Amino acid sequence: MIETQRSIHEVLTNIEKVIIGKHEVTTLSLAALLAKGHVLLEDVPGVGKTMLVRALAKSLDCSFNRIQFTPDLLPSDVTGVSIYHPHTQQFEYRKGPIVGDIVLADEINRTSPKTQSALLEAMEESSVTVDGETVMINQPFFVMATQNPIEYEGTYPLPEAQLDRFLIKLEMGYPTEDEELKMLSLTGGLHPIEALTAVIDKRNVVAMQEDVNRVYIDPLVQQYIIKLVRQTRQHDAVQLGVSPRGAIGLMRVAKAYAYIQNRDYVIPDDVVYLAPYVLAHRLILTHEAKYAKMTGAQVIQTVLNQIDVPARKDFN
Amino acid sequence: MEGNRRMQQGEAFLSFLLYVGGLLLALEWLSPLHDLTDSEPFSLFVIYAILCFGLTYLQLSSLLSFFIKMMGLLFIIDRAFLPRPAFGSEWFQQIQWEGRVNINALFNQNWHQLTDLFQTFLLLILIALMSYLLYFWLITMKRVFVYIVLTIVFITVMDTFTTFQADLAIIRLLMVSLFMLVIGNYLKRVKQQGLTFEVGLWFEKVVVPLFVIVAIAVFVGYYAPKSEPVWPDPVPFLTTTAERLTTNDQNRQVGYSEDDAQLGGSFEQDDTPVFRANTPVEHYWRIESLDTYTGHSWERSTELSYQSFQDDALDLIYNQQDQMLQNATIDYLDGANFDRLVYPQGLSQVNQTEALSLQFDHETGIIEPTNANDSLHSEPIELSFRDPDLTVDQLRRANGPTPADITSLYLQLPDDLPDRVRELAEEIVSEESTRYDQAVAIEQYFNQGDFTYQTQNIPVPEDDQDYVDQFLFETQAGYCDNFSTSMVVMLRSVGIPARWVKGFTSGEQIEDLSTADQEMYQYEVTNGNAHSWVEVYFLEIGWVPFEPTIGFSGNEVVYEDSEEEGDQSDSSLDEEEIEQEDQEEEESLAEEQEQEQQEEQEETAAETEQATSQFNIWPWFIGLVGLSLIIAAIRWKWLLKKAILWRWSHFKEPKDLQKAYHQLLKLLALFRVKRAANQTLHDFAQDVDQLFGITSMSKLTNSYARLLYRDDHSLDDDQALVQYYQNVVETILS
Repeated sequence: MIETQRSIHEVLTNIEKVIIGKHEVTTLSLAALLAKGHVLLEDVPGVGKTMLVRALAKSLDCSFNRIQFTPDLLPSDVTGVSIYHPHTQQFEYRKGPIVGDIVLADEINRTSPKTQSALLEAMEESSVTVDGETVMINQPFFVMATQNPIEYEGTYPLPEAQLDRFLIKLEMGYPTEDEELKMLSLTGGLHPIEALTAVIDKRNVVAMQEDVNRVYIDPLVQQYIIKLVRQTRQHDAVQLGVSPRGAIGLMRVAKAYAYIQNRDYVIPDDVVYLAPYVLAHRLILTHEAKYAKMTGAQVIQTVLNQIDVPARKDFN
Repeated sequence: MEGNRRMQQGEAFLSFLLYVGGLLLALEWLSPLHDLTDSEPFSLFVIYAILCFGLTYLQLSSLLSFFIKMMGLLFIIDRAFLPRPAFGSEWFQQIQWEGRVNINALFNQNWHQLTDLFQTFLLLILIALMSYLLYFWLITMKRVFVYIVLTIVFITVMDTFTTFQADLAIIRLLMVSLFMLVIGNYLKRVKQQGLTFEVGLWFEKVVVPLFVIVAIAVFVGYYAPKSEPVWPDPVPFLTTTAERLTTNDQNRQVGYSEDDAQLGGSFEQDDTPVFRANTPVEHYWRIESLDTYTGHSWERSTELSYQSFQDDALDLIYNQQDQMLQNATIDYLDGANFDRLVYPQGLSQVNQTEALSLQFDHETGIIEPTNANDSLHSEPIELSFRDPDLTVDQLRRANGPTPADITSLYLQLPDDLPDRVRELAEEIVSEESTRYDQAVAIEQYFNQGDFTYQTQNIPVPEDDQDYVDQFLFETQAGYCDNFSTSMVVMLRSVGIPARWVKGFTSGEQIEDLSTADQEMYQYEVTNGNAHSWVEVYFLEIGWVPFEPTIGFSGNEVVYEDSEEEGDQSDSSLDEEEIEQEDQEEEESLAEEQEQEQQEEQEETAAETEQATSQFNIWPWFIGLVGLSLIIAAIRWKWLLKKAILWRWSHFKEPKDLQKAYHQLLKLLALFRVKRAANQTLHDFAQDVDQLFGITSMSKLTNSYARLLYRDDHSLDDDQALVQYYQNVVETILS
């Protein structure tokens, strides 16, 4: 545990050499990775989304693929194609960019729903099926999809049902003035990402994922999660609340987050902290709420305020 | 550095002066006491106040200071009130008696019954508390003004409403107040603005002008012409207004009147002296009895049939001839607006002169001058009486058929008397078999705490209401008429002949005229001493007085230690005369003691209790509880801390930790640091730590969270946990 703790710390510092001042986003991304989930990153271009993923891949000694989504991208451009091989006289599967360890799916809302669903299916199943042949994608498998919030022109917004496939949704946000200044001073010469070296190897990442699975979560905290999730379904501003998949997701990230915090059990604080990231994008708000400029995160916050944190239990 | 030190010294000196000013004002608070009461230990109060203020100023350890103050307090109480030698048996008896009387008074809310000792005790505690309060007010907070205003208000109120003259006090007050205000204001500014001062400069700029201003203010204030008050003296003004307002309220003047056509209503106190009496024994003064109760008044059913008064003609209590004759003198004063003789229960002879012959009515006991032209007022009247001596045994044995002439008159009740009066009376006497015990049971019924003695706001019964019924079941508050009438009615309703007696209580002893071989005391009886009580008929004994009114005593004709006396008197018949004399001496000694006790009790108007030799633990218990409450009020934080720390000296089981943790949350809530139900424990713990500048709460919470959310029941680092816990508790309660 102490060993892995040091590794995690090193990974985070390593990434922060490249991404200045985004500790929270870095940690949450790592948590999603360790929870075998995927991240949707919504932000303006140029805030370092790509750098984050590349740094993560490099630090973890993982392969890095990037898919730039465009309107004319085909599903097979994502999943790969079977090509007839004249020598063997057989169809041979050529891996698509999705088959990799860490994949950056850039601007996924620019591509057609068909291609989107190919990506999302691969994410959910950890496998791709081409011409009836299923190819498993090994762990670690981590997709970080980004979408651009501004340029809605010519985009295909992700349907809510698809959004549910992302374990967490993050926003990078602009760096602070100091951070930006520091960024400038670091620029010039070799890009820091080139100097980055792996901190742990891939096998360790898989082992860590297994460890995360074993993190203890008490029925008390589980009940707390369920209460939160169910409460979202009662909320006035919500048309469709969080699905059971959301509850499972919240539990998994909470475990991973606890693991990163060097704790072998989940506490309500983890849940409270993670709930907006895990649950907000899974809500479908009513039209009234949307007109009132209410956001999913606000709804989750009110739900958190409504539910009592478990603070005692029966000992027998 | 040097300047800083000097400044601190200067500040300390000024604070000291301020506190001395506070002491002087505190003494002004005490000064009306000197004028208004005859409390002898006034100088002791002053010394005690100085002691308390001095101790508080020295800021000794609170325990030591408390101890010294308590010792001083006890010393004063002992010197002023308790018999010598200290810690002797009498001393303890006195303390026990004081405790009993005061606790009774406290519980019955009869504040006027509190004894001097207890009042002094409270006053001294107040002085001690005041020294604390003023230290905080003046030295810590540097707030002077409110205290000065309060003092001025107090002094002026005392001046206006009491006989206390505050002329000089106001001048002293003005001087001290001005000094204090200047010093207080200066110190506050030093504190707020960080002023520095040079000693020399300060002298020029502050001290000299201060003295000049104070001197001018006093001079001008004292010598400047003052106009007459614009408003009338509020006291007479208020009383007359009050009178005007209440005249419709059927207020009556207290005092003896021949008319009892209406019972009920409030009455006003009136201290006009009626007569002076010299008598060796304290007793009530009887005037007449009445036999018929109408539901609203007492009336006489028989015509007065006068006969001339002979020695022993009025035998209220029979067969007392072997009792010693005692002499008394009555001197009627101008305040007496009636011409009837007041006499002791055992009246034997009246010295009738040529100028005065007397006639009397046997049924009522009214004794009047035979000639309408004669007056009892013209010269002092000498009479002799036998102090009745009845034993309980005698009275208990007196259970025979009552003669018809008694029953025909003294069992009368109005037809419309509500049944519940009779039912109550029957219930009260149901346990008792003899007439005497039944009468005592009814007499004691009023002492059980439901009834209060008061003279104001007593309603007059409506036409369809019965006076006794109203008192027993509705108001339960009243004065002697209520109590005595109710007792008579209840006695009659259970078949015991009784009558209603009017007269005066023994009054106030104003002089001790005792000589070596004869006891004699002079009493002054005022209208305020007018009283009514009860006489119960006992076969072959006669009319025995009872006193149902709570808070009154002093008319005993029955003595509890009956067996001893009975035995003695039996044997003494056969023994030689010397022994008889011995016995008489003994009896008079016993009487003397009884008298002394009665005097004390009369002073405090406390109810007489059956003298029990048993050590009564209740007063002590209640005192102890009271004391603990006081301590708890002062040191509750400390006590709470000790209690919590004692309770959680270790955590044996997970349950313990949970309980302790939630107690801590409650404790924090008490200090308005409350965890919202939706706040996580760690989050809250961080708030707490930040608030108090500690880290223990988070550490403790980590352990509890491990137990709660990890289900980890091992409390292996118990000691560290306890340490964190204690740390938090101590921080909160420090």
